[in-house]
Amino acid sequence: MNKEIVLLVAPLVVLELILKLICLRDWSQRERMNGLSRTAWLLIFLFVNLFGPIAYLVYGRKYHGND
Amino acid sequence: MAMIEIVNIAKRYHAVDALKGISFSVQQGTVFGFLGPNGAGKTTLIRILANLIAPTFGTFRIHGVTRESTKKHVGYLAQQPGFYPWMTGRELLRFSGKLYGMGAGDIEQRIKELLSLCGIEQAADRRIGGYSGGMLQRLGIAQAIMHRPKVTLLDEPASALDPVGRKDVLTLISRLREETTVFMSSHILEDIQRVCDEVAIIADGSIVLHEDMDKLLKSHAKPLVRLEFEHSSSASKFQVHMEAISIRVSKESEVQMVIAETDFHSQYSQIMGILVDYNLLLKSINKENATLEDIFMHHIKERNHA
Amino acid sequence: MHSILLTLARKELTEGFRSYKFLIWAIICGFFGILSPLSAYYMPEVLAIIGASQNIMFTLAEVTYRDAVAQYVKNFTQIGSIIMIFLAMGSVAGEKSDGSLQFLLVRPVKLRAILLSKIFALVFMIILGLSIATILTGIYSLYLFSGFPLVPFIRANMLLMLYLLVLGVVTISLSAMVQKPIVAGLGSLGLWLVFSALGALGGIGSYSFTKLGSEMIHLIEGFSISWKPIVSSMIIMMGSVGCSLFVFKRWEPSN
Repeated sequence: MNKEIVLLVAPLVVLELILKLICLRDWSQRERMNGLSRTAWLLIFLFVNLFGPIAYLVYGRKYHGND
Repeated sequence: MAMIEIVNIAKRYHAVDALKGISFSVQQGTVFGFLGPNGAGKTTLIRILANLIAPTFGTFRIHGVTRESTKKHVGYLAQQPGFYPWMTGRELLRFSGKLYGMGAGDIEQRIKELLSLCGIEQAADRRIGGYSGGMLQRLGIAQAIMHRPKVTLLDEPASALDPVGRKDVLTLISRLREETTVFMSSHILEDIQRVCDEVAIIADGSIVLHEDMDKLLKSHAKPLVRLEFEHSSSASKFQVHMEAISIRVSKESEVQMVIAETDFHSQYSQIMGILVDYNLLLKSINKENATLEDIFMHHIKERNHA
Repeated sequence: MHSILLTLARKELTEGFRSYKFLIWAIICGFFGILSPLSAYYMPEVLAIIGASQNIMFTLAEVTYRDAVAQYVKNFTQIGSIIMIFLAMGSVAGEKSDGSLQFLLVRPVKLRAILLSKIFALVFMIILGLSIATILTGIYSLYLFSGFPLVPFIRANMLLMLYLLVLGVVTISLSAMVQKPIVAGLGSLGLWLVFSALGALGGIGSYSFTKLGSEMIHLIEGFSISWKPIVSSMIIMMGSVGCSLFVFKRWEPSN
């Protein structure tokens, strides 16, 4: 039973990891970010699941923000 | 042949007249400089010609056509251009070519030509998001002339660049005259003087002067002679002696005095005599012509006094 | 005109991929696709654990695919909708503020072609995401529950597609009417809440496009569905695109 749960949930973990990796790769190549500091964004996409990476990818990584 | 004809164009924003009925035309093959201080209405006129905003009053013709039909004859580079940062330079040019309905073969041929003309071959396949200011501006010129427009509108094309970048871009602009009529705005007089054949000065939404560059510089030339002394004491003595023989001297700095060339010629021996008799040591003596800056200042001041 | 629309559509698709917009949406849909049946299936056990710690006994009917479908609809019509608004709100307003819209406007490009190309990319994105979600929910439900009506579920996803499309088209239209993405996002969120509230009422509320959510369940259960929300969805989309073109035409770059 427990083994079954692990197998069923695994794809979710994989999806989350893919998101975090994409963020990490983008983050390491980017100097300036939109809205918050670099460290703040790192913490957000690493520790806030699902919504952290989405917020970073849609909002934080803008090329030329209108700040 | 007149490439751009502007007839009585006015633009009003919230009860403020940005342009107050401007008329002039630009001949084919000219590099036309549109000069004025910030906020004079340069960008407004360029945006009207680029079909981005509609004039409140008046019309314009480009290559003999009006309104929407002018778009295919016009290339445009904004003051702060926004290009898709996720595209590469090559992709942007290709995208532009397609929007103008160019054929695929023609597009690739033209891209090759432009990359080398603008000196951005190396950056062609990099994302625009990583371009430097100078590279962006050169790509900006390339995308503006991609479809071989009859008229190219450049809004402050060199103003935001460092001296080296400015020089490169200006050299590039002067090379464009072979294939297109250039209409560029700037608040930097030196840039206009360097590349333009014809100039119009705008202040407070009106044209205060429109003339051929050479003629303008000649007609406004008030030839002056500048004398630079070794010591400030010599300079002030010189000033006193000149005033004694009623020659007007303007003091440019502690050691620099400027007199009119006519005075210099008519009273030549007297002036030289004074220099020698009182042992006023000269460092240099130069003749100078009026610059566009002098003319600009002259016209702006005249308006403000009126 | 035809080839320009194609060029613009291709640009929108490339942008969607390179800006990670499509990827984000696909992953979210993947999450919902897995999480909906899974959370429905394990709900009794979760409740039992909570119950044991609180000394309460929950007596629940056996979980079926119906619980999974209910979760699926809820996920997409709540969090999914907000994310849809978030992804679509910058589509035109973002190009206004970074200046790239001017690049298009000085070229011989019609405004309706710009809007159409963005809607085309939106349709692509929704189909991509819902396909992933449908497949994952299908696989998980077939494994976890005894019996799952796969074909009606796929048909119900067409209604969900329409629901998300209305939301996306309204957001894009607002985005073309205002200067800042956040304004379009908040406006669209407001409209969505108004329609949801309307939908909770009877009478005229049965025309709200948000009713498409409950129609999905009707469809899966084999009931006939009401055409009212479908017709109103079409009208809302056409109306918002119309308004948007009317306002957009008068837009002039400022500053």
